[in-house]
Amino acid sequence: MRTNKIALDDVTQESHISSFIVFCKAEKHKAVEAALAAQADIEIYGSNEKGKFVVVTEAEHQGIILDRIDLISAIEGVINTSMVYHQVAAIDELDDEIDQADIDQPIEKIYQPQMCEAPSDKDAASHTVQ
Amino acid sequence: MKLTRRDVIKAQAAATAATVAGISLPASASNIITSSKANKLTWSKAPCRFCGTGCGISVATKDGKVVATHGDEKAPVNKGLSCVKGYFLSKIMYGKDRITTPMLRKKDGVYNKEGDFTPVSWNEAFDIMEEKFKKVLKEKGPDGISMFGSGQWTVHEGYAAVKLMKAGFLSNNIDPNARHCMASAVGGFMRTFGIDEPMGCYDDMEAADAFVLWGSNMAEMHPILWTRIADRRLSNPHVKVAVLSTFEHRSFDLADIPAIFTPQTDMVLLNAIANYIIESGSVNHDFINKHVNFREGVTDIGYGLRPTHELQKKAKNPNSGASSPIDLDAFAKFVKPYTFEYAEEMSGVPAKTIEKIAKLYADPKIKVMSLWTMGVNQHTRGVWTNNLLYNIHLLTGKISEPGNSPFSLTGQPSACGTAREVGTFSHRLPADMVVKNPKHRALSEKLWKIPAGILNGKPGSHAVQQIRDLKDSKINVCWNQVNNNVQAGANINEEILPGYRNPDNFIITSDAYPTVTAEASDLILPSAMWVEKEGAYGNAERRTQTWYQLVNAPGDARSDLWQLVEFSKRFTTEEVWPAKVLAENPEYKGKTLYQVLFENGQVDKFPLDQISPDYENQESKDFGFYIQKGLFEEYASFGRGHGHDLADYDRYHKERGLRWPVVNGKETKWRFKEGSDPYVKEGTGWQFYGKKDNKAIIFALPYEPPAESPDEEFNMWLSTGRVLEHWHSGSMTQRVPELFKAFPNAVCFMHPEDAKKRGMRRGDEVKVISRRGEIRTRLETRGRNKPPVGLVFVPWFDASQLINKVTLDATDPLSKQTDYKKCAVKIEKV
Repeated sequence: MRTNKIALDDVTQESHISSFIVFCKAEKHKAVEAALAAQADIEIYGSNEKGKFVVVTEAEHQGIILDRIDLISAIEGVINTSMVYHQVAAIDELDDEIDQADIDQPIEKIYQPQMCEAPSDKDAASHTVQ
Repeated sequence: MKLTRRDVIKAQAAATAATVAGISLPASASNIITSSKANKLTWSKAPCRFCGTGCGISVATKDGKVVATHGDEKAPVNKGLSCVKGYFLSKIMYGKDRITTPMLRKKDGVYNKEGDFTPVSWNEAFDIMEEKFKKVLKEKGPDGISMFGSGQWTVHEGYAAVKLMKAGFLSNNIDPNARHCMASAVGGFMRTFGIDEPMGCYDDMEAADAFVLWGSNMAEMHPILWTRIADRRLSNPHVKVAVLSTFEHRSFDLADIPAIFTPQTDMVLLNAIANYIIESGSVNHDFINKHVNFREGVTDIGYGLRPTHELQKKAKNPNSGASSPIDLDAFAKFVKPYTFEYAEEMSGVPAKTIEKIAKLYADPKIKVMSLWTMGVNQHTRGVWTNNLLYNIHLLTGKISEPGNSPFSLTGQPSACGTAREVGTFSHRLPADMVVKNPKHRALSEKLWKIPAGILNGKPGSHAVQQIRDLKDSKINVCWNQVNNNVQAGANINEEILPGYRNPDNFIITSDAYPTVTAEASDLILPSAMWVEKEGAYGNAERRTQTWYQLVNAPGDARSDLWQLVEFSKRFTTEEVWPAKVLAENPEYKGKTLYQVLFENGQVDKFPLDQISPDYENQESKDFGFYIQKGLFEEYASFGRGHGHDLADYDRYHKERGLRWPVVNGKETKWRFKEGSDPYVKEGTGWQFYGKKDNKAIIFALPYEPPAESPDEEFNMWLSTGRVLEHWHSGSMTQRVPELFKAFPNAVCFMHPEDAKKRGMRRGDEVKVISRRGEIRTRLETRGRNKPPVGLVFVPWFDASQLINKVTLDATDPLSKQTDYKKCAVKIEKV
């Protein structure tokens, strides 16, 4: 009979980019910020004084991402780490430079028109994001 | 500034998280600009593939593959968050051992039950299936075939399956794996309210003042809902959380009132709370006078074992759900012996703790939400225990209002939407109807446009019975879809494998991966999964959600819907329907089941041009009509106007789900309550309209002992369950390597004192032995699950350590759901 033979066998030429939200007690904000900044491979993209951080990380295997989440959760003062975004991309594409001619808008603006806000005439379940 | 694709993806990841967190990114981050080609992804919505919570996920595709996912911040269920299972959804379809072609056991080029799996075409696969089905139908009739399905079937698939089996083959031998997880919940709802599924919804979590978990470990099993409860608790200091379980687990971290009870004594605790409510004068008399009847159920109902089993022979009223009317006084007398002292003696929970919990229910000012899943349902008195939970909410009138909510959680993504609402159980028809009721059959025949009187009125074999019938050669063909019963079913050695390998039998399994069930079968059919097909799921709060086909399935993999409908072309009415029926209804003569079931003017009513031009739809293009819409609209006709109203199919593609009944375009958050449920008449307050007199029932039911308790030789309780990183039998999550890594093999959790007594240490290899079988595993005395002295816990996802060789196939005699939570074992060092 079959046994669980799944191993870490699919480490491929892929890279995983993930974001999560780190929650800490408001009074620990500074200390947690310093601890996050001290960790390699973690980038803080934003935060607020209430104790929330937006953190982005990249790894060649998503198991490493889970390990990093564990490390963050272990920081004194961190209450919770919530996962939000995960994308897989081919490693060799990631260093491609973006053609300046294509550059037009801040990404937040493009990202805003989300999916089905309300029933609308255009098929609402889908949208294209650049 | 030079920008790379990496910068753009990271900016997108950050922007998404910032939206969910409600914080704005500093200019340095948000001003990253991008190009139209840099990270061009098409985003669509889909409900998560995993548990019954029904989180909304945004799914991105690129070049025909799912490449990114994130919690949908506009989904009301999860508000942008994701748990570890949902986080890596983009990986579940791309495991290396994905099945991409039908595989038949062959020797010397022909089918042989002892042969090796050999790739075959769909045509050859259907040829052998057709031959086997026809042979058995001829020899034994419809009772000789069976189908075992799933709470992971889409609504369309479950509906097509039940129609093919019940209306096509005239066999009621179809049951979902939901039998193992939800049947007792269904039984409880039908008995107390006469209509299935929770009256409240997740919105209760932001309105309740107290939460009581009856056996459930939401921190690990329903992490997103647990986040909502934790938010409520942490931001409102008056809120209390009580966690009751047979062992300590992660949900205890948030518990204000923790309680460990001896298995099965939840029934004692519930009756003790009812007694306290009465004795402390906390009964809501106005509510019970207007909206409640009292009944006393018969007792000593057995353990749903084979009739030849000693325990079954001893029972006075085996399998009886009968009851007789009583009044509040008689009920009060019935629960009077259940004092806190008696409850402490039986359960091991201190009387003071029980009193604290009882007060949460008794105090009219506290809005209380009860939550439960498998601890209550996988229970030899599961239906009763569901009834007892409703008792304490009904006695106090704490029901169907924001925050006052007895809430039965579900484990599978469509246990509610498909298994229960569509009615894929052996005794059911769509919209809570049953095969036994001639009126229900007549209505179904009319809506299905099949001859009057043709449906089979005898309930078919339920999940456990199918397994016994396979072993006993009463059923000879069984088709499994989206389940892993050889791993998930109880008592594998004595019941399941002998049935699968019985030379009389032909077993077909449709799956995306080679599970133990697939490998124990004779024919494996490759299935499309999740967003490789258009589908719909219904979650635990009655929310129906649809999604489009976003990518194509690999190789020859096809959805279960395509498999069912395509296979129906192989049969003519003459081959499967009685000659008498055809003589009386000659217009059905010479037609295939495909023609009478699916080309019936209803299912094929909607042309291909109604499909969104932005999406593929493999099945519809193959059959020539928008089959998902046709099936859904025909199915919805069963429930509209009967308290199960669904919206128009197209609307679901535009919404993040709607909670039924959807009347005049509006969803229903709290059923049975005036003002929030359109079915409740003005001036009535509440109407439990599942019952003819609009009254719910409080049942007087005693504690009865479990089928097997520890004794001198088998001196430990065994409880089984799952852990966060693995979902059910792990056939998908184990394809995601880091989930596998997070919890690589099942272990046996034991109290350090029990280990010491046996001279064992953490990490030792041990045998877990019952009267039925044994497994080898490693001992764990620390970690996330902390059993009390006298109980061990073994998670059941690990195919190399099949714990269900050890469990007992005792079931609830009313729901036929197996009790995986308690049997007697001994632990020995290897």
